[in-house]
Amino acid sequence: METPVLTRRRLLAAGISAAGLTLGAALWVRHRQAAASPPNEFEFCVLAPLQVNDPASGLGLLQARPIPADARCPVCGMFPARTPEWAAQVIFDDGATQFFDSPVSMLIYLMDVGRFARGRRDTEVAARLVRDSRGSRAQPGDWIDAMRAVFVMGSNALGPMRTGNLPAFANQAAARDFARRRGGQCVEFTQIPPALIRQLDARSHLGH
Amino acid sequence: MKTLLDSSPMLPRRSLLIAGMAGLAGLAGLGLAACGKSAEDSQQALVPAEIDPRSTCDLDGMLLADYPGPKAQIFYEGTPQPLFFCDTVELFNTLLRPEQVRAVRAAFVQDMGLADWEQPRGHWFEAKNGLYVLGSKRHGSMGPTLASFSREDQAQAFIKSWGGRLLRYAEIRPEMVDLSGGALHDSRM
Repeated sequence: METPVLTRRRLLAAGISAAGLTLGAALWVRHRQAAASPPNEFEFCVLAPLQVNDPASGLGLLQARPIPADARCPVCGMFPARTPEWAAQVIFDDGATQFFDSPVSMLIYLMDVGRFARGRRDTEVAARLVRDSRGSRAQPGDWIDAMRAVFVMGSNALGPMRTGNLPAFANQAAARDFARRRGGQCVEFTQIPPALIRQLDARSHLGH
Repeated sequence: MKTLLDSSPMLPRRSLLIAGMAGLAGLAGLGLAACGKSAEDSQQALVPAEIDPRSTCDLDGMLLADYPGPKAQIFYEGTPQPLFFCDTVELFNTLLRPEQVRAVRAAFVQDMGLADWEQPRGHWFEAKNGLYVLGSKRHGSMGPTLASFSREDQAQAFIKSWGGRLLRYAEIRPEMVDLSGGALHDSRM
């Protein structure tokens, strides 16, 4: 090339400055993205906040609420409204509500309320509601008080996470009929062994 | 810039212009990428996204970081961000549906020969190059799953420990990845 030394040097300078500009812009974009992304510390309440009581709903303080389409299970993140036949809800004494994809997720939550809902205690839990498993996705069963429900453990029915779960029934007869068809044994809420809940908890075993 | 151009002979001036244009083009490209409008970059190599504590499954909302087993992601045409799947069964169920609304640019799964089963991170590779173990005793985030591997010896070692049979990408059939029942599950009430 016959380019004079000076010009060649200028060309180089121009090239370097263009590259520098591009790199600078790239770094700036990255920096912006980093700044916009959420902080490292992850809180469950951000994903699945408690739904405060709405006095205008016309529902009693501890009455079952319809599941909002965007409500998420605080344990697994799923949308309980998508598997309503398995859903559960916990209502605190001030009417604040948390929705779950299934009885198993609700039980995992109840074993450690303060961890899933910061500032809440299990003593503030006023209602635990599950669905009568005789319903279907299109027509979910009635909401029933988990303390009075009969659960079937060890059946071959798979919950929303395609693993074993604890279908609930309003009475012994319905639970027994289900267990006859799908296997398993009937238990009351307080008889469900914590070891079984831990076993049905599909979360990674590290740190749990 | 002006003085630089003024003092340069014809050829270098053009080169300078080209250098400047290239710089500008680079900036423009970045701008587009930053706005998420890089739909025309299908020829570019796609970089798999990483799971963070907030990542959730685009199919059912499940948290990805808290559950074991291989996860998956699909990059669709015209979308810069991938869709995440909490499980390879859901990935194949989506990919093998008879009607696809959007063209798939690439799908990635995790190499379980390298990733930690309980908490897989990284080790993404293209799903179509994968080897899959169906019917093993090792469960993923949603129960029975397809364990994904990039190397056959590692897939075979997994089968020795956990059972199951080896399948190539093209051998996976819709009935093997039925989300509502079928070969893997029975979810009737």
